Amino acid sequence: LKETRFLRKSRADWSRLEAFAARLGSLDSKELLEFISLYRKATSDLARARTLGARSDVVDYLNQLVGRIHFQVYTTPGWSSRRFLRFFTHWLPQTFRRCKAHVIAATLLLVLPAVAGYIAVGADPALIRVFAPPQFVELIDRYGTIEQRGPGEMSAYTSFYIVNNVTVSFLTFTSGLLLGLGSFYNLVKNGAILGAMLAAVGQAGATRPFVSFISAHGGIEMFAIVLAGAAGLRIGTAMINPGEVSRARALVEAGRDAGTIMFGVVLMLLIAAVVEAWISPSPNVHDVAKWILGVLILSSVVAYYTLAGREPLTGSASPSARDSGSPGRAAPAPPARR
Amino acid sequence: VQESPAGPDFVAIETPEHVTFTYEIAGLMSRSLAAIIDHLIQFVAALVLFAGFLGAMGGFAQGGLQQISMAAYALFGLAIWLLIWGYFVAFELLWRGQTPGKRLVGIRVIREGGYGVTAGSILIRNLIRVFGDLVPFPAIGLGVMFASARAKRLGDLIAGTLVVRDVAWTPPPALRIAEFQRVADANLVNDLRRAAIHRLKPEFVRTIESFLVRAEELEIASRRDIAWRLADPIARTLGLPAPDPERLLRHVVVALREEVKEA
Repeated sequence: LKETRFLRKSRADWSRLEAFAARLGSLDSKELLEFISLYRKATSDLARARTLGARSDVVDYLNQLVGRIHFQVYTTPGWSSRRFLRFFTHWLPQTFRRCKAHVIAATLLLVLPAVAGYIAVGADPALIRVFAPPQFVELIDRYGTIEQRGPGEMSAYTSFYIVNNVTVSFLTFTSGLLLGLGSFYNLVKNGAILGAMLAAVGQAGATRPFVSFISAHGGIEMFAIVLAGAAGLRIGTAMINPGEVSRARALVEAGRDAGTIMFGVVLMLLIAAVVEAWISPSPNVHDVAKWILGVLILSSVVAYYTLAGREPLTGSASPSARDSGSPGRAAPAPPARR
Repeated sequence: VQESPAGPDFVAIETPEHVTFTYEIAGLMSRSLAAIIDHLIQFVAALVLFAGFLGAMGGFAQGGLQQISMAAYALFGLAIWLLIWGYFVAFELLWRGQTPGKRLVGIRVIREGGYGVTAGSILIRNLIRVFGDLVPFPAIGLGVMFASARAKRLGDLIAGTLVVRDVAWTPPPALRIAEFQRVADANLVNDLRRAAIHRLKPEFVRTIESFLVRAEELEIASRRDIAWRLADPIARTLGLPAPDPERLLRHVVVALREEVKEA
């Protein structure tokens, strides 16, 4: 019955705490201080209610109150331009370099089958039917055709390329969940098709228009698919060999790297889709200009990934500490701004 | 994060204030219900988009605006694709781990340790949605959820997230003892005190209090049933008649209060 008094005294505090929590973003500094002391009091009320063996509805209520406010207080800071910039200046390229081995493996998994496909079809043109799906083979004559398109048509193509290529990259990545085998398969398959098609187009005497067509967007597009595959391999290898941490922990770390890389992949494919729809097929752009553009795009993307963000971060917490899920290591973030 | 003493359906989290609280993990049923609601919303939105698209195309074609109708086609394709892939990501970002379906059902995505979701964890858990939930792998998705201790989807395992109940409660009311005292029968109170009512086990008293606090909200039949179950052992031990069990319980609380006051 002591508890009845405790309840009567504390209920007002709890209601006040809930009211503050509902508009956490707009509290002034005085209210914020009161909010924090009320939250501390609620946590100690919970501990006390539990040790005193208070009424179960009181304990349950305090439990959900503390849980909900803990979630609001210990959250990651919301979107700020600073954090957004830092993602691109440091976090993304650093993650890329951390996954260097996977990127190299994925590159080889695409390039080696491409070379093999090229050599095989070069030796025996009939083999193209083994490597490439029939709808690709039928279109060989039309590859690299240049046509005058209207803006509406070009937007339609942009949209199609975005939808198609991003979906392919998603599948290349997520199929890595099968111990990495899916990503492995998708990379090899795409590489083999690419090499075989190059050889077949050469035999049809259309090398120059074909290469001109794919040169502007092809580099960044293939690189994006390689990165999606690398992200899948990152997850797959964490499943097979978690290293010194638990498998669950290794998976979460791999997931964080893979998610970061996939952000980059989507952006690269957006750029590629615009170039592929508006510049690659255009008769108004000279072939050589397309080659130069392709080289420029790919080399600047590679330079960005390998060189950006090499100087250490200035500022309090590094993104890795901030984003880590372990309660022991994570720095408590300031109250969320909603 | 550790296994909670409260059972497998709860996850215990220790705050930096060194107080442990628990989240109730959302079950398979509530998560499926939320998913069904979300997919229905997606479906209806797609229908609306499609109707708008057909209307626009008809108009443009009549006006001979070939290029514009192509652009409309492009926009439509992109919109549908964004609806499929972006719906969950966008809502979980904006509503901090909730979608319309999850909000209706009262569940929320959080990260292990009780932290709010990050953009990266949202992207990962929803990218993997295709793999775990859709053809040809729904069996894998469900299998993982059954096998995992906390009903986690594959996406949750890799994103380090879990889905918990998130419903705001109203503060529990205090017992209205003053009211009970006003209408209490002094003789019955004295009988109870003479019968050494203070020897009742504290847990039992708390159960009585919980019941009296919530009695108004209970259905008539279960209210009568619980009152009888609580009052009957007391009445029998003390040899008192209990024609109205709830009334007896109210008197027990009043008698205990007076014991405390005099002590």
